[in-house]
Amino acid sequence: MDDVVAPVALEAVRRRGPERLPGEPRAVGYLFVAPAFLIYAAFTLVPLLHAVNLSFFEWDGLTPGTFVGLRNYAAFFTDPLIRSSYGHTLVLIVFFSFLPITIGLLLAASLSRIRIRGLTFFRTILFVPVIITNVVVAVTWAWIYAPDGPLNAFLRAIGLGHVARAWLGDFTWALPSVGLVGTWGEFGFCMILFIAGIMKIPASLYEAARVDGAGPVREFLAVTLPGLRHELTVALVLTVIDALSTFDLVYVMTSGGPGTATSVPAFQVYSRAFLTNQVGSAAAIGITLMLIVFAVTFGITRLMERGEG
Amino acid sequence: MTGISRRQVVANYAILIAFSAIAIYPIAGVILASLYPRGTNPSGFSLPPSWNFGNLATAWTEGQFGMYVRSSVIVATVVVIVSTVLSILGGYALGTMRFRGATTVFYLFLLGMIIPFEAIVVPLYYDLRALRMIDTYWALILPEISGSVAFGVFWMRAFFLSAPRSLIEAARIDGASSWHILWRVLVPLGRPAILTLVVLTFAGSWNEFFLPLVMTTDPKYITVPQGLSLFSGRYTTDTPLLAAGAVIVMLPVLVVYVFTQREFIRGMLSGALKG
Amino acid sequence: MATVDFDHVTKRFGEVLALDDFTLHVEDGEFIVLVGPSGSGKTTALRLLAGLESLTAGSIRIGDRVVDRLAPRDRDIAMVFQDYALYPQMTVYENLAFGLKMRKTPKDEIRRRVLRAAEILGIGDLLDRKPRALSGGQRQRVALGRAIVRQPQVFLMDEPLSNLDAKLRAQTRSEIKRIQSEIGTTTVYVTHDQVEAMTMGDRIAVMNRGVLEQVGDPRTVYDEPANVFVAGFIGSPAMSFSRMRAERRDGTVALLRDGALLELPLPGGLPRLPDEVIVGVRPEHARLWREGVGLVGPIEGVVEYVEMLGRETFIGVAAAPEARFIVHADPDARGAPDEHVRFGLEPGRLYLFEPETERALGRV
Repeated sequence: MDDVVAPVALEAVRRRGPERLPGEPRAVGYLFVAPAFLIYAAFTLVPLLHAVNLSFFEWDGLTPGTFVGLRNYAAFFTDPLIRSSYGHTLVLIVFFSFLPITIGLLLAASLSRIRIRGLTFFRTILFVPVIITNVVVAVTWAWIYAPDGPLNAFLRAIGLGHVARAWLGDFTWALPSVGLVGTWGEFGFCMILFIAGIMKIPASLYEAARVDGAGPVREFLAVTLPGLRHELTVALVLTVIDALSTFDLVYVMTSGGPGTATSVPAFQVYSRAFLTNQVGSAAAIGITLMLIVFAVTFGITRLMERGEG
Repeated sequence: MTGISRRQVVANYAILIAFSAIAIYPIAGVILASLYPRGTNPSGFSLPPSWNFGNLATAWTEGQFGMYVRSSVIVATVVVIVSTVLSILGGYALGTMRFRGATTVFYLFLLGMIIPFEAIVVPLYYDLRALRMIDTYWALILPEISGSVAFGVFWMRAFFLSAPRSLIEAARIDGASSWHILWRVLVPLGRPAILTLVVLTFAGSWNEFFLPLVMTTDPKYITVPQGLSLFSGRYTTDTPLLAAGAVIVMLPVLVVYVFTQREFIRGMLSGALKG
Repeated sequence: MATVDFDHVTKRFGEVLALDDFTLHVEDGEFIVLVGPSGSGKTTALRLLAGLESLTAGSIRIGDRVVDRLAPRDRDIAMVFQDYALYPQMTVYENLAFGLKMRKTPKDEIRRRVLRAAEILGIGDLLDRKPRALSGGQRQRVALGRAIVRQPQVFLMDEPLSNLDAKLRAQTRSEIKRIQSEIGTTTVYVTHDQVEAMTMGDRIAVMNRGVLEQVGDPRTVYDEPANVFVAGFIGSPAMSFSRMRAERRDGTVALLRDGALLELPLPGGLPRLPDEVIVGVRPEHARLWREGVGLVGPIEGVVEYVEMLGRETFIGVAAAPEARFIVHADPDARGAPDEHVRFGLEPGRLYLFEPETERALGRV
C-alpha cells in the first residue's frame, strides 16, 4: 500500500510547489518582499536592460539613434582611449588590490604571534581611511600632491628636492599617484579583515606548529595563509571591484588628465554620456565593465575556493 | 607568550604605530590645515600659528554648505528609513518564509550587490529625465534606495536565518501573526544587525558622488560631496578654506564612525565576508 | 481539554519519510510520551500536531475538530520548546503575557492568569527579570509558565528537560508530572530518554524510523515489548539479545547454542516456535549461578567488563562471540575481565522474538 501512496504524495508536493505551513496565507511572502524588490527592479534591473538596449545604438541623447549592432563593443578593441582606460585600470588594480593585500597580510601575520593591547584603538585608527568620503580623500590628497604641498615639502626637507614635482600634472606619475591613494584607502580594511580572520584560526594550530619547531615564515605559510583563504578571496574581489569602478578619485583629482593619462572606464562612461554625447558607447562601456566585474568576481571565487575542504 | 621576545613585541608596536600614522596623517593634516589663517600655505607638518576656527564658518557660508547639507540630510534620512524598512521586510520573507520564486529573487538581489553603478547610470539618467525627476530629490532617493536594498535584504536575510527558529514558532503558537512576529519578536532581537545596516546605509548615501553628479544641476539639490567638489574647484589656492570645506564634509561620517565604530567595522567585515 | 487523534498521518521531507502512517489516540487529560531515538519521527509528530509542519497525508484531530489546515494559533495548544524559546527582550511577565495579549485577553485577566501561573511554578519573584538573567532551571519554568497561562486544550512538550543537568532534570520531571495531574490538561511529551518516558507517561508510544512500534502503559511496554526494538530501547542497562536454536520437546522448549542447552517449561500461550529465535534477557533476569534458586543454566562465559553502580553491579559476559549478556550481581560481587564465570537465567523471563520480523513470540 505504501508503494501506491508514496508517488501520489510526492506528486502532490511537486504540484503545490514549496510547502505552505498550515494556516499561512498563500501570498504573504510576496507581500513582504515586494516593496524592496519592486524598487530594486525599477531602478536597477530595468535600467540595466535599458542599458543593454542602448549599447547597440549610436545615440547623441537627443535625435533618434542608429542601430549599430556590436560596434560599440568592438570599440573595446579598436578605440585607443577605451583600451588605455582599461590599461590604466590594470595599473590601478596593482595599487588598489595587490599592494594593500600584501601590506595587510604582512602586518596581520606579524601581529598574529602576540597579543596586542589596545587593538581596538589601533583598529579604529586603521579603519579611518575606509570610511572617509571619497571626495574628501581626493581633495586631501590633491593638496598633499600639490606642487607646494606637504609631499614636496617633505622631499625638499630630506634633500630630495630634485624629485619634487606636480605629481598629478605629470604624465608618468599621475596614475601611480592616484593609485597610491587607493593603496592608502584599502590597506587598513585588508589588514583588519585578515586580523579578524587570523583570530578565527584555532590557537591549537599555531601551538602545534610551534611545537613542531616552525619559525615565523613556516608558520605563516603553513597555518596563517591557508586559514585566511576565505578572507583573501573577499579582499581580492572587493578591492579589484573598487579598482575597476574607480570614479570619484579620478573625477576630483585629475578629471582623467593630464591628457588622458588617468582616464578610467567609469570616467569614460561619464564623459561620453554626459559631456560628448556618445550615449550608446557609454552604455556599452558600462555593460562591458559589469561583465568584467562579474567575470572577476566569479573567477576569483572559483580559483580561491577550489580545492578547499 | 613563550618564544616571543621583548624585541618582537616592541617591533610589532612600532609597525602598528607607523601604519596607524600613515592611515591618520592625511586626515589629521587636513584638519590642521583648516585651522591656518586664510591665504597661508600650511606645510602639513606643523601646528597652525593660531587656531582659526573661523575658516569653518567662512567655508560654510561661502561654499553654501548649509544648502548642500540640507539636501544630503533629506536624501540620507529618507533613504536610510525607507531602505532599512524595505530591507527588513524583504529579508524577513527570504529568511523565514517558503514561497515559489524566493530563490530567484534572492539571487537577483545578490546580483545587485555587484552590478557597478556605471552599468546603469546612463539609462537611469534618461529614464528619470523622461519621468521629469531630474533636479528633484526623487532622482537621488529612489536609485539610492534601489542600490542599498540589495545589500540590505541580503544582510537582514542572514540575520533572520540566524535567529532561533523556535522563537518564531513559539510566537506562531502564541498567536502572533507574521507581522507581529517580525516587529514584536524579531526586530527587537535584531537591533544590533539593524543598527549596523543603518550606519552603513547612511554612510553610503552621505558619500554618494556619481549619482548626484549626474542627476542634479540645480544647486538646491546638490549634496555635500559634489558641493565639496565644486568648492574645491573655486578655492584651489586657498588651502585653509578648502581644508575647512573638507572637514565640514567628513565630520558627520567621522562622528557617526567614532560613536558606532564597533557596528561599523563589524558591518563592513561581516558584510564583506558574507557576500 | 480534549482528546488528540493522529489518523494515518504521514510526513515526508523531500525523499525522506519522517513519519509513516502514524495512528494514535490520546485520551482527554492523558499524559502521553512519544519516545524514540533521533530520527524516529517523534518530534515530527509533535510539530505536525502543533501546526509547525504541513501533513503529507492523513489527518489530525484535537477533540472533534480536524486541525489539518488550521494555523498553530487556532489549534488551542501551547508548546514548551527544547531551548525554551523565551523572547529575549521581554521580561518574564511579558513572556508569559505575550500569548494572551496576542489573543486580546483583557488586561486584568492576563494579570490574574500570569500571577497564578507564577505562583504554581514558584517564579513570582522573577517576573521583572529578562530571560538572560535567569538560570537554566528558571528559564525552564518560565517556558512551562508560558504554556500554563494559555490554558490550552493540549500541552506539547519537546524535550523540555534535555538542557538541564541530571539532578535538576530528575526534580523537574516529577514536578511537571505533578502540575499536569493538578491541571489535568492533555499532554503530548517528546523525549529520547526512556527514563523520562517510563517515569512520566500515563502511556508511552515508542517510535523508530517514523513508525509507531508500540503504545501502552509503561509497565506493559516494559514487560511485554512488542518487538526487538522496543525491548532493546526501553530498560537500562538494555536487554541482551542472542540467536539460539529452538526445539519444541515434550512440554518444554530447548534453546541451544554453542553446546549450551537451556531447557524451559513451555507456556501455553506460545503458539508456534520457529527453528531459530532471538532470545532477549533483561539484566535483572540474569544472575550469577547458584544451585537451588530456580535459575536455568548454567551458562559459561568470560567477563568483559564490570560496572559497579554502588547499589548493584552489572557484569558484561560473553558466552559466545555473538551471545553477550549483562548479568546482575550483588554490590559486593567481585569479578575481573577475562575471568570465567557461570550464570543462570530466570525462567519465564526469557523473551523470544521471531528472527525475520523481530516480532515478539512470547516469554519462556
